[in-house]
Amino acid sequence: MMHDGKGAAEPWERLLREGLDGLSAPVEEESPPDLGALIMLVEDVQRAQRQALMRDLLRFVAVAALVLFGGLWAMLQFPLYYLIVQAALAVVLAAGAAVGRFEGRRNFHE
Amino acid sequence: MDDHELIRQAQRGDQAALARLLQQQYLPVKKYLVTITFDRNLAEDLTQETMIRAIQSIGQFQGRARFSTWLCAIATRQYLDWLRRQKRERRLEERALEEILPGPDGSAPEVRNLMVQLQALPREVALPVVLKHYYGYTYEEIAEWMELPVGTVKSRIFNAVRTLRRGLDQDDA
Repeated sequence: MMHDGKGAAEPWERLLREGLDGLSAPVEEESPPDLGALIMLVEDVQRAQRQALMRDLLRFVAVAALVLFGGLWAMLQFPLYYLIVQAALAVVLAAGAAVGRFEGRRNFHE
Repeated sequence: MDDHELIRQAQRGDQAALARLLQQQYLPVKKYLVTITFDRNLAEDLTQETMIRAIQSIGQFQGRARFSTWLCAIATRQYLDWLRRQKRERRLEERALEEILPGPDGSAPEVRNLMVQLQALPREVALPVVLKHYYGYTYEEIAEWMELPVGTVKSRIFNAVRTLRRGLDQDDA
């Protein structure tokens, strides 16, 4: 652990060192947790982490599948509406990108 | 087995190696937390949270700093998160004088006085003072850990040190 203030020159720094050394000294008399308990903790935390990752992955796949199949279904059932929505989306995205670029350039020059 | 080897094994998924690393660092982290929080019970809780966070992010340890320094950075962030939670829930009130830990009973009165003054400072002001003047971390490191501009950290430390010095001068007078 970093602790390089040995050259503490000022009186208040020496007092600080003495005070904090004294405050934390009782910790040195304690024993660290048992290795078996820590292995169990590591197992539990990593298992929970894997489960959370799987949950997120499944959620992502489910949403992606929903969007994809929804789009496919709309394209097959209502091709005209589908094309209109696609075109509108493309225009909105292009306009958004253009506005973003313009704002960025203006901020740069200001 | 040295620390580098243990870290490598832990990053490859060896749970026993990771547990051994954490066991080695448990008390140093707790000691560190006692010195920055001035609260032994809180230090115990935060040490456990630090260990959990270290288990979750051992894969991200790149070896740029020492493992103990990496754990201190995690512990500091846990403490700052705790402080933010307390503030949001308006639970952080001024510490009563009897709650303040003045150091060992046998310590000199000026040591006890300094500890009382230090703990009377707002916690987010006392923290950088301890990190700088007790642990010797750089302003840049402290600023990164506290997610503050370097200038803010410098001015907080400068003002706090001035307050502490003044308190000691008054004590001497």
